[in-house]
Amino acid sequence: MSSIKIRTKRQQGTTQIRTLIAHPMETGLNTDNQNQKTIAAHFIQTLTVRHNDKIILTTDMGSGISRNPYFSFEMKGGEPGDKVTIQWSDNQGNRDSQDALIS
Amino acid sequence: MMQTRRQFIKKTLTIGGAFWASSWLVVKPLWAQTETLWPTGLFAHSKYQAALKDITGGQALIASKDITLTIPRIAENGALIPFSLSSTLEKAERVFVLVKKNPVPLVARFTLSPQVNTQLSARLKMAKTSQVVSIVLANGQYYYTDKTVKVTLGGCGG
Repeated sequence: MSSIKIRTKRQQGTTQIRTLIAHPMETGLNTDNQNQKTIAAHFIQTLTVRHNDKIILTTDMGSGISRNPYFSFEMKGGEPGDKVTIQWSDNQGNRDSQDALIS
Repeated sequence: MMQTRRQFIKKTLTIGGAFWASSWLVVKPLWAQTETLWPTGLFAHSKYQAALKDITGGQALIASKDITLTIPRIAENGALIPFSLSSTLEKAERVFVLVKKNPVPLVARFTLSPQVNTQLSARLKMAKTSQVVSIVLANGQYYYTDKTVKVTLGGCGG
């Protein structure tokens, strides 16, 4: 199952894109209560939003974004059936990508 | 036309090689497009002033009423604070969100294309009561607006 959920909503002349990603977003500063060891940093670094395969927005982030990140963006235009792709990559080399069609 | 085995192998290799080379030429720009480099320096553990200087390069910030930062004044849980930001500034290219007293002050950097409106929301973490600063880069100028968020850990009042 993909780690990315995408919801799109067409408004007057714009399209709202909302996304929720399942990710721990560890800062690398917290300690594990079980064994008192520092939990390794694990957070999303880059998030890319594409509209019909064209990059419309990139977000670079640190560990200051909350766990299971939520984002919402507003795009000009957008027709039913247009493709919205969201892709992320984190500091441990993981990546995921998900497509959604504007309804 | 008869072909010797040697000629046949030679031909397939040349055609195959040309195909590989051309496919690489196509694939490479696509790859380059997906790989945007994460700015390690900007997300270093540092003080707010140093982080700010890394972003603006020492350029002065201009206070602006055209940026609206919506964020709770009091947050019970510093691990999850929703915020949204909108701006009417023309030609906004980048949006930065910083928390002054976080170990890593810069929370996120949004790079906008002209197709996107400056209307963003997300959720951020805060270590303690601090000012949240949002900076919009438009027309080569850095505009900002800030708000103080009080973080009450465990409800004991910060």
